[in-house]
Amino acid sequence: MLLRIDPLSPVPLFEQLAASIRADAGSGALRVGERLPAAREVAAALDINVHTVLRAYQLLRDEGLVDLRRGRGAVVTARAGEYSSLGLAIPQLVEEAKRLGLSAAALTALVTKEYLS
Amino acid sequence: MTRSALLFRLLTVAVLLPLAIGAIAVVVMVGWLPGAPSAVIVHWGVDANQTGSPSLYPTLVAIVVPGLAVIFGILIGLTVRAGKPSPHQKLLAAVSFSESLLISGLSVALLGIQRQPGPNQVIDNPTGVVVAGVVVAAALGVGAWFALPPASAGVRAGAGVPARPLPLAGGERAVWIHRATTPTALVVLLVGVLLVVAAGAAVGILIAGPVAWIVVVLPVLIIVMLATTIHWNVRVDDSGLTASGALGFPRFHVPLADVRSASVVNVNPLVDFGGWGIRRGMNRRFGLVTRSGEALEVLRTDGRAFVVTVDDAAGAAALLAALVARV
Repeated sequence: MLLRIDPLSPVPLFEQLAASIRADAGSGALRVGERLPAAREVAAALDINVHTVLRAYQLLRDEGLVDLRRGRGAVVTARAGEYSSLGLAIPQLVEEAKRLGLSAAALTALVTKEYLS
Repeated sequence: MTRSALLFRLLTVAVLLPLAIGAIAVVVMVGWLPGAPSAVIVHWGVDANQTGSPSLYPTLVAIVVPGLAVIFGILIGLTVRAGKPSPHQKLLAAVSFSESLLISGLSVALLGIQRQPGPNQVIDNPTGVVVAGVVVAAALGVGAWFALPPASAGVRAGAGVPARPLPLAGGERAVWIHRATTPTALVVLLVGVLLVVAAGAAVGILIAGPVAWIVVVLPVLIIVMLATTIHWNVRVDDSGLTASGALGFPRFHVPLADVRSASVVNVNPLVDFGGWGIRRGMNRRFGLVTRSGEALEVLRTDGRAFVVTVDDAAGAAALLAALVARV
């Protein structure tokens, strides 16, 4: 799985990490029953605090995407399979926005407005 | 060369000739049985030699030679394709030929020496006979290698299409982590083999007592090797590529500075690496091989290649390419 963060982005790091993992679930790169990498390993590789990684994992647990079990780490739940339709819809959405010449911010604003309505 | 023609050449050396050699040896030895002593030495030990019926010699050859020939034949048959044989296929065929010669030849020689009753100096210490047998069998094995068609050059290092870099923003940090796993069926097979070895060790300890330390050390060594090599944790980050065994060791690392390019390749374990595990393949390719199929290949600046069979190899290759481009 690919985890990426941009320290210059205004989005909190743990939100960025969680978004990376959701994206992997959407693309099918993350399978049901798979274990997320150890928080320590991710933190060391990205040079961030281990609590930031754990906070991202906790956020995903609250969403039901992973199960956190002592000694077993973070295990991907059956919910990951349901993310795939979302993973298919988003590229279509982005493609359409690009065709219309909309910026990422403009598309995000549209999606946010729809979500909150 | 067509697949069937090549298969015939390889199996002639690996199966047909060993079967013929074994059959001749059995016929010769069975012919000696009526006039042979009722007990001959069948096992040479440090403390004492064991005796047994002379019929044990042809029985051993009749079981072991065809058994090994069939195993070698299956290993070859599974991997042969049209074209040139791989060096591993040639090696398997030559070893099968050589090993059947050695077993058959030594059995005939050792039984032949004991055919006449009475004391015999050679049979008390047959080291010379065994050494001579090994040398002759090895020489004929080398001959078998050269009698087979020339080997293919194999997959060259860096044969894959270099991955396009993943788009990364200037300050963006990324890590790719995945586990390279061995298929469950293969693990079950390995555990089965291990249980057989452990049972053998238990029997060995019961018979020989604690003197047989080697039979205890061997299964323990195999357990450690299996436990460390059936899963690999593979990571790509700004330090390069790291693969560590299930227990954290052994650890293999390709620094980012040594990476020329990364690509996705298809691995056939027996053809490309001669098997599974930590492998040295042809053409300076080093492999961590847990299954067949998709693999990440990293071409190093010195021309060597590091291969690991892992899912989403494309993701790993793209990130490596991006990190290399950024340095």
